[in-house]
Amino acid sequence: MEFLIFSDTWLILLIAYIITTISLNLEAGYTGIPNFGKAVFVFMGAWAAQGIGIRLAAWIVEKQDPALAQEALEFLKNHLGQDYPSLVAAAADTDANRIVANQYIYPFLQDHPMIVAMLFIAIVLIAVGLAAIMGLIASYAALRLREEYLAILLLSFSELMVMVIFRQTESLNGGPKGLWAVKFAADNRVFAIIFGLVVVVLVYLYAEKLAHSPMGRAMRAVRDDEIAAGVYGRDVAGIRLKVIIVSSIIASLAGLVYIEANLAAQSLSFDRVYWTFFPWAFLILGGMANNKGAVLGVIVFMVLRRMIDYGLPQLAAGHSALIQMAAAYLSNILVGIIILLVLYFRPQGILPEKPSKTLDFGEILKQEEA
Amino acid sequence: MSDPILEVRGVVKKFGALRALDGVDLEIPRGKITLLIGPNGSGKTTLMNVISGVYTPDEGRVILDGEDITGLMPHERFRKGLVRNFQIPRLFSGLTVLENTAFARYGNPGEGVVSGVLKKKWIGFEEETIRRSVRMITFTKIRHLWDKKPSELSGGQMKLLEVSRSLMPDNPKIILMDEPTAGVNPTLAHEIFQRIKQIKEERGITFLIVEHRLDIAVGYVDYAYAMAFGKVVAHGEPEEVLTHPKVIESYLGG
Ligand SMILES: Nc1ncnc2c1ncn2[C@@H]1O[C@H](COP(=O)(O)OP(=O)(O)OP(=O)(O)O)[C@@H](O)[C@H]1O
Ligand SMILES: [Mg+2]
Repeated sequence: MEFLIFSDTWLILLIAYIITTISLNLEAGYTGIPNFGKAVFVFMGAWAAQGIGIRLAAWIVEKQDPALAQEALEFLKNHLGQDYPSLVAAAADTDANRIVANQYIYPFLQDHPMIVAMLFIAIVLIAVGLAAIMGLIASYAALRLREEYLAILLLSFSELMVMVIFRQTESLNGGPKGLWAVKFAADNRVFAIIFGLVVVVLVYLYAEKLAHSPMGRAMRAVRDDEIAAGVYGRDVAGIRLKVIIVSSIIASLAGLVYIEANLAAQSLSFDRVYWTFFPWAFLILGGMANNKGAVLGVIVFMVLRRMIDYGLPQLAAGHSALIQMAAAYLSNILVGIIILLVLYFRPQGILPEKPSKTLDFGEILKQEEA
Repeated sequence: MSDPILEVRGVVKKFGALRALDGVDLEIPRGKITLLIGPNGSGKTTLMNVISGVYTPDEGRVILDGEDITGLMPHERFRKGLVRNFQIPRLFSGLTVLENTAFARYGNPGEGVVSGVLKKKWIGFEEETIRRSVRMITFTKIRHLWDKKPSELSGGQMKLLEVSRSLMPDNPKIILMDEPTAGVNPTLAHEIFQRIKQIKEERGITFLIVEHRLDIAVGYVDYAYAMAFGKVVAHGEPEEVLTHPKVIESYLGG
């Protein structure tokens, strides 16, 4: 699917990035929490559909259609020479996962729409729950540490979870290769786009409402001066905790959208460059503590990058292999230069923070005058 | 003294080799305005920071209304009725004058990640808060600046915003004010002290006020403490304290 130079792959990434960046904005933009560990929270959404979801689906197949499960195990024995104790075990094994998912689980799910619907709800809940737990663990430190230490701690936390634990432990999510995720519709990409757009709309509305609420005011107060916020009765640690948990939940939905579009993704796909540093770049570019800015930052960045990625190879075509390769790398450098230029000429981002009033203050002032 | 609202017992606070508070004992009388004076650097602000929980003392206890609050966080002390403001304004740079004032009223039901998006839950409380804030900044004569950020205010206007904030909380037992009228014109400074006196009389709230402008403050206060070099050097009736030889000496020496 291509429209102009934009592909569906590009659109899905755009959607997942918008969700992630809105979530980061709640933490970093409004509350001043330097979350440099976004990747792990995004990854929780993928894990829910991959390592956890595919086991759950295999378990359902075993219960609902034992004959099919048996057939699958026989097939694996004959073709891979592997004897799996159960379909669940086979589904989570890196060697058998692809076959089990594509030849048995996907066709089964396609024939059972009610089960798919329930599985979808279950996996969304699992994603959200896992993210909340991760958020809770991360906040345990967030409550105590100063900003600069917190940034480093969250970065290390995310690296440790995704890069060390999940990549090294095959049983969790297939190790470096990753596992095939549960598929909810025949056309999983269209499904991911629709689901993603629904999430974008809901998350954006939520973030805007929150920004214009007493909570939004309290978040900005905590960001601006945590001592003064504490002296005026606010439990600064508690506010940070709540914001981190909600933001983590939102970020996990981005991971779920992304994995649904791609079905198989290596654990490596959820690395700090793409799911932590890029969202930070979008946010800084678009404008911190401005939800419209967060969305705009993603769009501007992604469109520019796509144009560069598309345009440069065309220019380089016909030239030597070296120049073609250089063109591919140049795109990163160009994107970097554009960000630096924006920051130099417009340090608050494209759309700077605006006061987000809870009520029509001007009207109340007029009434009080009378 | 019988039944003080706030007691400070043997408080020591060190910064490196400096003993900013060197064994301070205070008993703040309930329902009165107490003035705290002392030369620059005598430890008044440090004492406020220890009382409000911004600093942890190296030794000693802080007792609010009979309860030892030494180990509590600033927000827990606030919720027990202890309010303070800041000598050097600590305003929220991203909030307007009106929002800074409104934030100082604690207890908004809309301060949650779920309740925040349910406007019905908080609109009543919020409207009342904004109205009160408008009246407060009208009194402190910064109403015309309601939509401005702190960075756009003068030093005196920032102090007035600090005063506005500290008078917003619902049911404080005691309000600590650190030089509330510094940089404020004398007429308004008198009005602020009149207002403080009125709040004391009508609502029985205790005040502990650090003030260098003794000529203005002295007509409104009921009791006084004087500090020098991290120690209390005199306390009693304001006139006695102001004319106490040790107090005069500390000012002349400093
Ligand atoms: N955070 C700090 N670190 C190091 N020294 C400090 C700190 N805060 C205060 N001091 C020192 O402690 C002493 C007491 O300072 P404090 O601010 O309490 O005095 P003050 O009585 O409020 O003076 P002023 O009338 O000028 O406001 C001073 O010598 C000051 O330099
Ligand atoms: Mg001071």
